[in-house]
Formats: sequence, structure tokens, C-alpha cells
Amino acid sequence: MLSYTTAYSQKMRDFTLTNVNGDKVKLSDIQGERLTVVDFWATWCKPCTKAMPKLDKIHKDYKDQGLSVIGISCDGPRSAAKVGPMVQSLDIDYHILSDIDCEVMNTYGYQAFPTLVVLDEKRKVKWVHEGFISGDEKEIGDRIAELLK
Amino acid sequence: VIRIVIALLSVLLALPAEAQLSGNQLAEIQFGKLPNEAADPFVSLYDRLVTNYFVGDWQAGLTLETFTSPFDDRSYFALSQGYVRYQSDRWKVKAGNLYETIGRGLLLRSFEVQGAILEDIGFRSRNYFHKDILGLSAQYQGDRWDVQLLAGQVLNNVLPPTFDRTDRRPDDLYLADANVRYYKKHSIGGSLASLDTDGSDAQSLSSLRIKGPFFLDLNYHVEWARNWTLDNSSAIYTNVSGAFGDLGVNIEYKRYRNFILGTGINEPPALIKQHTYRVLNRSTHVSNPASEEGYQIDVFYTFENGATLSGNHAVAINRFGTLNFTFSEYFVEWSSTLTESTDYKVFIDWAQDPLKGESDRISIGTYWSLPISSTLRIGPEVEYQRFSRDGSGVDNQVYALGLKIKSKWTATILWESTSDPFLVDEGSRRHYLGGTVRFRPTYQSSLQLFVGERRGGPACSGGICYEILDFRGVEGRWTQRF
Repeated sequence: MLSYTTAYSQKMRDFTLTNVNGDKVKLSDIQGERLTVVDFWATWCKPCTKAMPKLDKIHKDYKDQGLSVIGISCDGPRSAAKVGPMVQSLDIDYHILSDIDCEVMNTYGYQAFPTLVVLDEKRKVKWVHEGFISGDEKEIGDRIAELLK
Repeated sequence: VIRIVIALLSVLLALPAEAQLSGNQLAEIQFGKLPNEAADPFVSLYDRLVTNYFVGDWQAGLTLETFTSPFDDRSYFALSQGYVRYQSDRWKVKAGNLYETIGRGLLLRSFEVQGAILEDIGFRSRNYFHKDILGLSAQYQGDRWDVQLLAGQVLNNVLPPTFDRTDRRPDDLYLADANVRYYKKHSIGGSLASLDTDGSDAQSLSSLRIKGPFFLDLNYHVEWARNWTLDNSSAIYTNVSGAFGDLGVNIEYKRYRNFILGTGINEPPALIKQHTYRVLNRSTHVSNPASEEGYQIDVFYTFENGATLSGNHAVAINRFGTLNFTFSEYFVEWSSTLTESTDYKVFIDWAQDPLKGESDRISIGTYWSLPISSTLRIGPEVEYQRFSRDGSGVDNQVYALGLKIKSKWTATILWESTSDPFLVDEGSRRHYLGGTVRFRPTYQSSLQLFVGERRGGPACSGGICYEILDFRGVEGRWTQRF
């Protein structure tokens, strides 16, 4: 049956993008068993790079409970070369994919950097958080803990 | 719009399949005018409705765009985009309006700048800021290789939808592209293309790129493109990047000669840092593919406590006949945290920009985010810029105070001041004072109200630079996802 959905239960479709090593990666192959955080970011966005180490810690804290974090860089040709070294400098462990046309983010109409989209095991959108300032990591961590209960 | 949407919904909801309908809406109403224009303030309304429909491996969508103002020649109602897409593990096929960037954009760069509305001073209509292709693209992805064929008409986004499709899409492009990963992470790719602008003789284009690991933790990317129809028309881009522990390094080189393709279907990398600070963003050197050579060195270091130190040095040389203009810039930024939730950033920038007639341009500034209580934060921001033009000193100042209540409310008061003789009489100053309030009742929607005067000028977002017009008045914006 048709499932007419609103953003509350909108499902993120499967997609394939390239990671920083040049490998093609499919969302369904790296999504979490229970929850997936998709983080749309760019190297020129300061709040994005501020948020990434905090997300990395959240990933480490909850990955054993079925959480996966996936960063999607929307850097275009102007700044795409900075993605790899910045991820290494920030010592990020979670998956980083590159979307030079920002097609995935645009498809779902997200307009802010960073935008965090939390998906359940069926990739239905459970929560969205836009922007990042210090202290937001508590709100994000609390919400993820709540969704993992 | 409502009738079309209801009709569309009726058809889609009747389809017996597991499907999903989603979309977003951006509406902006303005009452005001350009501060210097003689006309009285007037009301205008811009609206963009995007719908996407997914079923299985298929996706389809429509975009409606409308602008209404008291001036008939600026107003329009347009079905501005429509597409059908099929995507499987191996195939990606798109028909209709689509976005594609080949390599680093030497031959082809299309884009969409989220949330940006373009208003050209010549036409004074308003339309979404994007550059898409109307045509067909088919891509097959093997395990270690991929191949793509594309045929389409590229949008000249300077012209608003009040113009005919033939005027807005004068560039007919036919392109074939292939990439092979020949050894471990090393890959090679190339493109062949034919470009016909306004029915003129087709131009033959090609590009070649190689990339892979270098040594230690370094990676390289080299890309070369050529227009075989014109003399001395080529573009070279290369970069080496990597990290040594917590130190990230990126070095890039460019050389563009007579390489504006058609009405501008390509956008070779600018190799100029895109700043988010207001005075620097407005001063960004805009790359000129007709004649530009230069390099960029970018370094960033992450400290144990999360603090970061970033540095950038860029040089761009533009040659026009016997005249050489050399832009150079040095930028350093320190970003750290004082207490657990108090952030601050400090920057200093020095540049020479002879094309704009700005010498010894120095810019400094700081931005803070301070918690007042568990639900309230304030963000003071100060920026100062000074340069010399024709022997006279010019300065620009920015003072802003932001307020954030939980994630729902933000308010910002922004005061800008300039002594730039391009904008004011020599010896006097011009001030811009504006306030913005934003409310996000849910994560799907936001309401924003601006009151006051906004300073225009060049702006760069998402790696793309464009011109924003001054505005004085009231502006409301509503965004909604569904």
C-alpha cells in the first residue's frame, strides 16, 4: 500500500557516494543496525567542523548499541580537495562521503550547514538538527540515547 | 499552484505502490526598495515549491516558481523544473532538469545554492540561484570503472524565468565521460564534449584527470582541459593534499587561459578561500577563467583540546594584454573554547587586490558564543577592515549581536558602516542597520523576519559567488518541508 509520508516519517532513499579513499559506498551497507546519523557538512563551514569531533565521540559512545554516523561533504570543486586532510586533522573515525553536487541534501530540501538527520533502521527520519554551537552535543547525545532506548 | 498541487497529489496518492511524496516550500515577501532607487517602496512575493515523488528505484519531481510584483515585466509563474530519475546499483539515469559536475568543474559545473534567491540589477526579477541542465544523462558504474553520457542545455542563470527557454539555455552540450581505477586507489578519467552556443559552430572540448595517493599520506589530483576550437584555450588544475598527524595541508595550482565555455557552463576551482566572515566574504577575489594563474596553500592544525589554527595563502595573477594584476592574500584564524560551552574565533587577514584598486587591505575580527543560561546564548561579533584606494584610506566596520533561545528562536542585530567612496561621498560615512528574528516551531519549518537596511555586494556561498543587491524595508521568509 502507498505510504504517504510527511517529514516526520520521511524515508531517506538508498544512495551511493564516494568516500575519501575513492571507494563507492552504499548507504544501506554502512547504516546503523538501529540508528544512523547523517551529517551534511562542508569544510568552509566552521560550525560543521566544530561539530564533527563531538559527533565522533557520540559515535564511539553508541556504536556498540547499533549507531552509525555518516558525514556527507557538500564541498564543491572549490574546496573538495580539503575534505581528506581536514577529516584526518580532526581525527574522525566515522564514514565520510563526498557529494560534489550536494544532490542528497538538496533532494530532501535541507538548507543549513550542518544538518544532522537521524534515521531509524528502516531509514525513516526520526529527528533533524540544524546548525551547531557548543552545548548542542548534549541535546544530540540525549536525543540519540532516547531513540536507542 | 494549489490546483496543480491538488491534481498532482490525487494522481500520486491513487498509485498502488509503496511510494513517498516529499517536498519543500520557500516563500519570501518583501516590502521595500533599493535604498538609492527613486521608486516608492513596493510589495513583491517570491515562491518556490519543490515536490519529489519516490517509488522503488524511480524518482520524479516538479518545481513551481513564481514572482509577483507591481511590475508586469518582472513577474512570472513558471514550471521551472521537472525530472524523472532511475537509480539502481549500476545505473543512474536522469531525464529533465538535472545537475552534473565533471571532475573539478573545468568543463562542466552545475549547482544549486540552498536557500539563495538571485536578483539581478538589470532585470529586477527574482529567481532561485541555481544552474542546471535540461537534458538526459545516463551513467553506468562498474566495480572499478564508470562511464557517462550526457546531452542537454545548460541554464544561463543571469536571465530570470521571464525570458524564453531558448534565451535562458543557449548552450547545447554533448558529453561523454569515463573513469577507470587502474591500480589500488589510482584512477584516470577523461571527457570528450561538443558545445554549441546559440547555434554557432560547435566547439570541441576534452579533459583528462588522474588522481591517487602520492607518498606518505599525501594524495594528488591533476586535471587538464582544452578547447580545441579556439587558440590557446586551456585549463590546468592540480592539488596535493594530506595530513601529518593533526596537521592538514592542501596545496593547489591553477592556470586558466581563455577558458570561459559558452555562457559560462564551467567553473574551474577559484583557489581562493571562501570566508564566512562578513567583510572577507564580500571581498572575495572572483576567479576569471579568461586569464588566471595562481596557487593556494591551506593548512589547519587541531589541538588536543579541540582548538584549531587555520592558515591560508593565495595568489592569483590576471593578465589583460600587457597589464598584470596580482591578487595575494594571507589569512590566519584561531578558533577555541574558553569554558565548556563558550566558543570564540579570532582572525586576521592581509591582502593586495589591484583589480579592485585595494592595496594593503587588512581585516581583523572576532566572534563569540556565550551561554547566559541553559536556554539562552548571546553571540557578539566585531569585524574591521581597512585598505587604501587611490591614496585614500577606506574602512568597513561590522558589529553584530546574536541571541539564541533554545533551538527555536534566534535574533540578530547587525550594524555595518563604511567610508567607501564607491558608496558614499568622500569624507562621509554610510550606515546599515538591520534586525532579523527567526522562529523554528518544528524542524520542518521556519519563519524569518528582517527589518532595516541590508548592505549588498559580492557574496560567496557553497563555493559560488554572486551579487546581492542592497535592500531597505521589511522581508519575511517562510520555509517548510513536508
